[in-house]
Amino acid sequence: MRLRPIVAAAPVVIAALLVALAQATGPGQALLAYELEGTVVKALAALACALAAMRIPPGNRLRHAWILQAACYLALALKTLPVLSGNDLAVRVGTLTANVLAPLAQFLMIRAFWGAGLAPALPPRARWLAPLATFTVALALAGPSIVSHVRMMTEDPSAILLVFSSVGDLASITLLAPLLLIAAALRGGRLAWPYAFMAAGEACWLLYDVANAFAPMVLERSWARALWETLRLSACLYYAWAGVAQRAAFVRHPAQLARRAA
Amino acid sequence: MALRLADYLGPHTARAAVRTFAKSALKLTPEEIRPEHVPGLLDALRPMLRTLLGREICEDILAPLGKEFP
Repeated sequence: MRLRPIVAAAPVVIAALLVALAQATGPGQALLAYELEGTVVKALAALACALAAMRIPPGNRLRHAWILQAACYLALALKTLPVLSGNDLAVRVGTLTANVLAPLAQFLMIRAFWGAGLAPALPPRARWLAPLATFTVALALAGPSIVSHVRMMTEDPSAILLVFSSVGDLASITLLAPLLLIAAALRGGRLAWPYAFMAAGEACWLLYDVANAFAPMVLERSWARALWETLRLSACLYYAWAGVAQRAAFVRHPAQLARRAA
Repeated sequence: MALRLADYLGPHTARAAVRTFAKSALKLTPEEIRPEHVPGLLDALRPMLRTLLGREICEDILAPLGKEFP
């Protein structure tokens, strides 16, 4: 049995099961179940990213990336805690923190690959086309909310948090393309997995934004909610998977240790 | 050499790395590399591997290669 497709698809399957479980609690309890599951899965992603960072030697650029990624998911988990979720400003600060830290972490991951002297297997011009395509999609998704948040700032200065948050969203979606290109370049190697799972997580966040915008127009409310919760949980689980894969890549291989000792 | 790197970088990037660093550090194509060029190539690969894998794993990969091609 091939394990790789099962491991790669597991976050979506687990997310779908969690959503089914929340739906089974009944209409009154489903929202609470979604929030609880979301908090647990975000905390799990934060823990996995922190474990990845702890495995990487101090001073390494990748360590900084995983620390930021862990902080991003910690902020997302904290803002959904009952003690904070009722406070609008706390929720905005949590979202802003996550939306700023996530693209920074992704940028450091991409820079580690490019800065090491490696490049995706594409001609230089083609390397810019993929990010340009994702930037266009990001602009279509985040652009209108940036404009409306800027307008809101005249009445509510704290809306600036929402502006920065939407700009962070735009940057994250744009960086999906380089992450995918790097994962494709490293395919067949252990380092491909953290990049691939991170790209899968980011793709789920992108689809989550699309579902948030369009699902209520075409689906019944409970189905729309089930769809975007599946995508949200899948995104967090893919980041947890990415953390585990990064940690595994930094484990010293017994065969190499034996070769080195020989 | 590319086979050893492929475990981490994948076969495509491993070959590309050997080709790129042979060209940039030694001004050679992979076919022109002789055993006496290997230490120089390993030195050129070291910063890249340290960035992506850390010092310990980098040396786990490079040290046996240095012994195989003294």
